[in-house]
Amino acid sequence: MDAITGKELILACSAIGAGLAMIAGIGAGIGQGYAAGKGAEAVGKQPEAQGEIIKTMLLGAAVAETTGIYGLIIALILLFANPFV
Amino acid sequence: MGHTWTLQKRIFKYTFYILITFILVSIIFLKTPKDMILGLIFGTAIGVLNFRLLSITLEKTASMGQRRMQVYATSQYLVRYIINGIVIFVGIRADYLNIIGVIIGLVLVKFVIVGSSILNHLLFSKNRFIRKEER
Repeated sequence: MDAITGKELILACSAIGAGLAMIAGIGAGIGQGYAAGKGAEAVGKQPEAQGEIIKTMLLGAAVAETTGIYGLIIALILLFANPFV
Repeated sequence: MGHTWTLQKRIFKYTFYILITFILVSIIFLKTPKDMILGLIFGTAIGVLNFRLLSITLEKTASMGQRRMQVYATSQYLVRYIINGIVIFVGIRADYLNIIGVIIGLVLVKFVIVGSSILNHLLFSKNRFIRKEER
């Protein structure tokens, strides 16, 4: 059996790191779905405030998405533009 | 255009101003600004379209039931996530785009939202202790 070289080890660890970084996307997705559900509940309770509720939800959802994008960026950089190799 | 069109227009306007500022800064400080400018424009265009997609999704889901809305919002989030992934992949692979510029462009809309909230808070805090007659 051939010995594992340093580069191969780095590539393997990078793939594991990319997979771990993708976990960041799950939290943002669940959070956004939960917030949207609560928004629907709020609109149901107070239909006259629909505009304000959607505005607040839009800003919150847009900011919540950012953490998922950061994880995705780290994963893709580790896979396709690895700075350690 | 829905309840949020005014808010969207305001955010798009500020995003455009900050994009222009970033482009000017990259022209002044970078030796080869073309890649950076192209990356910034590409990233910002997709970021703005993603934000528009998010607002359309939320406006559409306002009339749904809570359970259906959760599923729909999460599935639309996955669609936007995949779009972001493709954009970042193209930014990494294409030689004529700077990946840093693409990433800055993608999160520029979020910077505008957080920045305007902080600015509003600071202005509110500053004006809170000024008497009405002095304003």
